Amino acid sequence: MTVSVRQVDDKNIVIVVGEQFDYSLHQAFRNAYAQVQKPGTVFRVDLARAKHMDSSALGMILLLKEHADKLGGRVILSKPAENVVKILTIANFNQFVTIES
Amino acid sequence: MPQSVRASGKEVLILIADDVAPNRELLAHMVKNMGFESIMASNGHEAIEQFERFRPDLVLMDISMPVMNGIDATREIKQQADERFVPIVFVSAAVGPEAIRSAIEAGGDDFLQMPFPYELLEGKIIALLRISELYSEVAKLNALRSHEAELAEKLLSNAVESGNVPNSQVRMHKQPAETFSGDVLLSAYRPNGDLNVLLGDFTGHGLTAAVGALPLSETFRAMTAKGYEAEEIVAQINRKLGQLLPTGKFLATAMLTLTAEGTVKIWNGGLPDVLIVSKGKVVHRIASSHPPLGILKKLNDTHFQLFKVEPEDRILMLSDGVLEAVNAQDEQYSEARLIDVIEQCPKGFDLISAILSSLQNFMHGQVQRDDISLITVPGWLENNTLEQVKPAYAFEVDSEEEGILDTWTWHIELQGQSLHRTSPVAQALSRLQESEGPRPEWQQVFTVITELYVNALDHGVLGLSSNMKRTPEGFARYFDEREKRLQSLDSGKVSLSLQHTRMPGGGRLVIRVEDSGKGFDYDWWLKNLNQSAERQFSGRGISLVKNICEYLTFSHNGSVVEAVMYFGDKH
Repeated sequence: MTVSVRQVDDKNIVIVVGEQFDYSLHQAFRNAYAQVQKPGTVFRVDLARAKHMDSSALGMILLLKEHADKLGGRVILSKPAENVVKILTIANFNQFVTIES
Repeated sequence: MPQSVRASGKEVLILIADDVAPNRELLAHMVKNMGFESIMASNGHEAIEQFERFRPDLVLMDISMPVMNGIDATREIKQQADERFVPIVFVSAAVGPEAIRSAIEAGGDDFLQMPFPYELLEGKIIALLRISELYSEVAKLNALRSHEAELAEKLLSNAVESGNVPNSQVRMHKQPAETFSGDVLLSAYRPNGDLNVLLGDFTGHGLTAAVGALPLSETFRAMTAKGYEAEEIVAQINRKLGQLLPTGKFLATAMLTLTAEGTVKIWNGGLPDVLIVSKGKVVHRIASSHPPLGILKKLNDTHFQLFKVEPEDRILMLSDGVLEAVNAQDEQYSEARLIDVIEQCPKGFDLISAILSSLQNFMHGQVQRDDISLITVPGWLENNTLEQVKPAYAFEVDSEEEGILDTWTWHIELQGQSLHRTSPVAQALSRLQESEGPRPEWQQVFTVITELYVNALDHGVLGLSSNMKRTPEGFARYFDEREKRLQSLDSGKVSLSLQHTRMPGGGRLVIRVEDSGKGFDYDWWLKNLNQSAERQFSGRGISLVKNICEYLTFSHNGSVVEAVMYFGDKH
């Protein structure tokens, strides 16, 4: 399983992403949040295991953010490894998404 | 019911290869019953010959035959058939599992052990012919698709990139991972001779990544030709892509403007560091300071970094496909290798060729996963540049960019004593009032025009130094001197232009002031604004104007200044 979901409580969802965060996870990643309609939900994307991330993964995060914004919730990217931090930094995602180390 | 004729209208022809004559005849009889034609071969060698001559649709092959066995013959026939799918069915007496395995490995498509019922052979032949029909259908469609894709790619890249400046000035290299590239490389001259260069990398690659290239290049070219500032171009591309691209698709972009005076301003949103290379060393790196375009509704920061460059310097822009190219060990090319190449590239050698050959050695035939793009811009502009383009500032606005065209231009030029007699500031303001009615912003416009005009007159034409104003006594002396020089003025000129464009709910005003003076070191001024207590008596003018205006640009050594302001709901 390359994407898994954990419901912490009724307003907190953790999406754990596998080693390769790229287009191959597109459907699984989308399925992880598409059904969540609870207002104010916080989506935490656990990136600790991801070794590599490409630009389509950035796009997938933007789609998740759009979903979260609609619900008045938010997205937190958590524990990205060095390689992934590099990509997030170049794309300056810290300007509109919370990133926690 | 078996079909004796293929969809192509050709009769089905089957090659039967067996060294035992009664076997051949039995198979031929069965095939005839099915309504197909047949030809014969008594060993593998003959089978190959018959295949070459008659191009049968299917082969029934015995395994052990004299001269050449069925397995070797199969290998040869499959190779000759190449792209075409010719099913080969092994028909043989009882053999061990090894023989079956090697028959399939050699390219055989099925295996039938004698004796067998007629229906079994018939079923296999019909099923395999059906597959081969499908196969050729797919091959035909695929050829058509790739032909169309190539054609569309040609059309697209012609439309997007054919307007670029000659390769002798800006070196560009693009190597798509698929037919369509998501990387876009653009260059064009502004009306004043400045060079704009943009490298864009759309999310992903292939056709879906390429569709944004057309609106991108149109915006870039139209606005560059109209003399818009790079800051405005980037902001407009962001707006346009924001409307156009679905969420999750965006454009990592770097853009630069190179002037004839040897300055370059650079902005990077989402691409790897842009590098300025001087004498084999990276002397500046411009890191991404903004998210890629098409994500945020409004850009937070379009601050371009300004640098002085020497003619032999090179500015290198690249897409992440370069740094992320992988070798057989799945290692990335990385910036460290790139820097090595830059440092080792002999003087006068083409940097892009050096990087490409290093990259090729590194990848060693590995599949390219992402588009690879490289641009080098030299630190100088070709001499003929200025004559190639329209000499003056282009006072037109692109109707497509801003809705329906509604623009007017007003211009005044004062020479000699008329500079003493009249001030064009009030005239400019009344022109604005007349045409656009009262607006609260006119007060600020007045301030901007006054500051810019007075600067042009005092420092440009009269040659007064603002250093005089540092002390209270100097302040008074300054104005005495000013009056004296004005009275005896018999040369020099200042021209002032306004260009107003109505936009939904507001407008855009470009103020341009040009003087006949020698100019000044505006780089230094802009950098030191607000930084030093010394500047309290002078430099306030520029600082004020800079705060009021959306954009403020100096050119021609500082003797031309352009300010851009927006009014209304939009800002």
